Amino acid sequence: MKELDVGGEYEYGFKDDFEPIYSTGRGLTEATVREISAAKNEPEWMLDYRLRAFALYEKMPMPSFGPDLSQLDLANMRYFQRASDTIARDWDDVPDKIKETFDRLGVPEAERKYLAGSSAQYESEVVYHHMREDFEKLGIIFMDTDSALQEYPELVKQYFGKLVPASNNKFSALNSAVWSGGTFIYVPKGVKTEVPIQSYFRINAENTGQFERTLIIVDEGASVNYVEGCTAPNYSADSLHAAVVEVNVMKDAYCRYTTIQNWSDNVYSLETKRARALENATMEWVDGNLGSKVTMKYPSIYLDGQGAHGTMLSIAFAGGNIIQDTGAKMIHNAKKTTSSIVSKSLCKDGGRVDYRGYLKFGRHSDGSFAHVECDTIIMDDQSASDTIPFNEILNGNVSMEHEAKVSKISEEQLYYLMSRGISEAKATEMIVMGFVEPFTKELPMEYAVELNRLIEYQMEGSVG
Amino acid sequence: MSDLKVLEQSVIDFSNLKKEPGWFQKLRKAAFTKMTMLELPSFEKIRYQRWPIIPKQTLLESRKVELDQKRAVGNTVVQVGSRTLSLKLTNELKQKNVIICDWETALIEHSDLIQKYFMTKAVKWDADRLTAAHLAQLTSGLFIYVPRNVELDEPITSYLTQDARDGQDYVHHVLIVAAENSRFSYLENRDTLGNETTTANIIVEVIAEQNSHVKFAGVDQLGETTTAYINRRGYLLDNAKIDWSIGLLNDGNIIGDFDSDLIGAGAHADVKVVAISTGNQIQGIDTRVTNYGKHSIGQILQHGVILSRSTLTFNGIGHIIKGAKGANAQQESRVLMLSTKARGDANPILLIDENDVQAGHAASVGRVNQEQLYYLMSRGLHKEGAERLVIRGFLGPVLTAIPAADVRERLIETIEGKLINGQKFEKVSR
Repeated sequence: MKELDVGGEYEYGFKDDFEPIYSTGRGLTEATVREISAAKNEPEWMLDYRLRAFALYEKMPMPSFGPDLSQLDLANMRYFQRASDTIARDWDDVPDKIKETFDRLGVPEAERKYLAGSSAQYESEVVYHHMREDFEKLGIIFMDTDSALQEYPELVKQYFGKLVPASNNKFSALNSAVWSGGTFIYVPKGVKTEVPIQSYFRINAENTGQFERTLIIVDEGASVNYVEGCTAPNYSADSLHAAVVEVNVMKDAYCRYTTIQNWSDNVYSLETKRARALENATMEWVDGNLGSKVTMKYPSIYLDGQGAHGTMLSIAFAGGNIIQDTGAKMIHNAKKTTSSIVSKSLCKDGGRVDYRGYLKFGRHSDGSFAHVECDTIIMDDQSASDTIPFNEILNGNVSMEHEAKVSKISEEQLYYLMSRGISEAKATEMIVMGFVEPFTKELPMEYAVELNRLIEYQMEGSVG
Repeated sequence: MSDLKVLEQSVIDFSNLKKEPGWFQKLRKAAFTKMTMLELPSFEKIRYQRWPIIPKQTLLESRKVELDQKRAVGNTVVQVGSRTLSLKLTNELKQKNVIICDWETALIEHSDLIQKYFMTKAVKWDADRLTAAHLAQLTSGLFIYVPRNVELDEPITSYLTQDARDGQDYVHHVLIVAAENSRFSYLENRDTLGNETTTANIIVEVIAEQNSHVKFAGVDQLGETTTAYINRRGYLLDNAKIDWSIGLLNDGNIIGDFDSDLIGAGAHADVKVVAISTGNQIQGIDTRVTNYGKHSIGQILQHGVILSRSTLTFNGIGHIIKGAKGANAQQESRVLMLSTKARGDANPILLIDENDVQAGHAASVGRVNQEQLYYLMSRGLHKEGAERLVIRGFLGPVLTAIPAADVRERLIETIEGKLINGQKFEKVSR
């Protein structure tokens, strides 16, 4: 068999030498928390909230399950770095070096092509933000969460921290203490947008902590499609991305939240994402995890209204020494709620991909239904995978189906394709593409193309 | 002296009285020392740590009790508490040098065999606080040894009754060794006499050597006032096979820990567990198969029915160790929820450290199959009866594996009784 070229590197691993205009330096104390809040000129209640969260953070233990986080150097992290003192509304106003970076990532290009709105966060804060006028006129609010706190304090106060309490876990407490940036979206009653809104998150310096805070409210009968992408440069020192995302989907509303996480292999990605769906609402998480050093992320949906529907569609790809510890949680709290989880995982070159799930039918979930499917391919004998789903049922009138499979690449499929004259490498790639297709076909076109390219690249050298 | 020291001294006195071999006495003492240092074992989503799960009062000799003659048929052992009431071996067994004896006799007459196999392979005595407590306070049990190349046509049957009449705790051990190429069936019936509040700690070890095949059927019907830890564990060498069929029909709170270690290449464990939870009881079942050997096969099937205000937790764990190439781990957990006040958990877990494998699980939770129900009702059965019949089919995988027709019949009666009670509860609580 022909040796394949393993070449190529993580494509987004370049860095620029942009200096932040303001930074709280390394390490975290109560003074840092006060400094961040003061730098943002926040209302008193937010400072109090941050300080309470910081006290919790200091007390709370590291997660009792999942990957080893002992190498995560929290003491040396930079917790707040401001790149620009204004948020550009026009791409030309973005500082040149940052602009160059985002240009290389294809951010404004994507916007011109197909987005209703787009924003870009660089280190701790959003540096660019734009919304198409026709969507603005519909009354959609789309801005960074810092600006929202200044401009819509009541709305933010009403929803902030209500789905994810600071006390949820150590990293949600940390985010609540030092959060900065992130996206705020409010879609008014009955307003529907098919065209996606996008945010792009970029970490540039080493040892950087990025703590974006995203809050979405889709009011009754409204709909929104939100996409986020994440990249960072390669460094030997680790960075941390600990986001908190809260999505409120009101009666009859619809929200799709798509994430393509492609951090470099020095980023710990420890996320807390939670959504709540009311009567007949639909919430969909579409979640791709391709990069990072360690990811821990289990987006949840609280199906609190009768007839609410929740979906989780995810892929996780763990290459060399990467740990993807991901999954989903569905909590059926009302009658006739339905949910579906489809998880596709791949690991190779010593990667580890684990699925952790939690499905609950509460006392009042009569007539509810859930479907869970977890498939894993372990590509070589250095890699491993655990599937750990918990299903808790407190109602006699529900039904749940759960299936999981773990195997190597199907030899039958491989031999079939090879018998048709296709090389082993190409055949393997085709099988993998087929395996993740249920996911890629749900992505916006540009992302699907990009994802296929990424997987092709990840697959290079997997046979030889 | 602390309570524990008093207990230890009385166990030593007991041990001297029974003339237990020195090595065993030494192990007991080590277990007493280690016991307090070890943690209780943890099982996912089963919180039993506050239950009265550690036995404390095990030395009371059982009061006299009449032998139920119906039980003493064929190759049987009948034990009630610390007493062995009947031990009958057919001529076939005697001729083939099969050993079946109670624990006291085994320690004296087969000390070397016990020393070789007891709590060193399947269950390690120092694994956790419950295994150490078991060894420290072990007072009764059963030893079965089937020599090389021996095949038995008749099953070996045991009736092991926990005596709860005087509130004594129960620590009981069964050690089964299937030597190379042996083949036999074993049926274990467990129940409770009396209704004082007690703790039971039961460990069953099955050592299946090369090419042996053991069919193990267990029917557990411990009483409502018994809190029990039941650990059954197989240790399988090359090409050995164990078929486990376990029916959990207890009335009290239970931790069931059922493990198979597929050590040898081609070893095969087929584990079938059915459980019914009723009343206010909590049953936590942790069934695990670990594939160490190449081309080893582990299959788990768990079917559970949950009634009234009870809780049933099924953990199914398939663990493939690195190097177990060609291994296969499959599992299926199905739960029927027949009550709006009950709680069911089905947690199918796969831990895979090797890529050249096949692993899969399926789990489902739901109501009684409505199509089957309507079909039966259309044939004139009333709803409750039809429902019970569908459930009997659902429990079939274990029922059909019970090798004795009369035991099977009585089991079906017990199940009927439990289901009728559950149905009454549903009617009243709606």
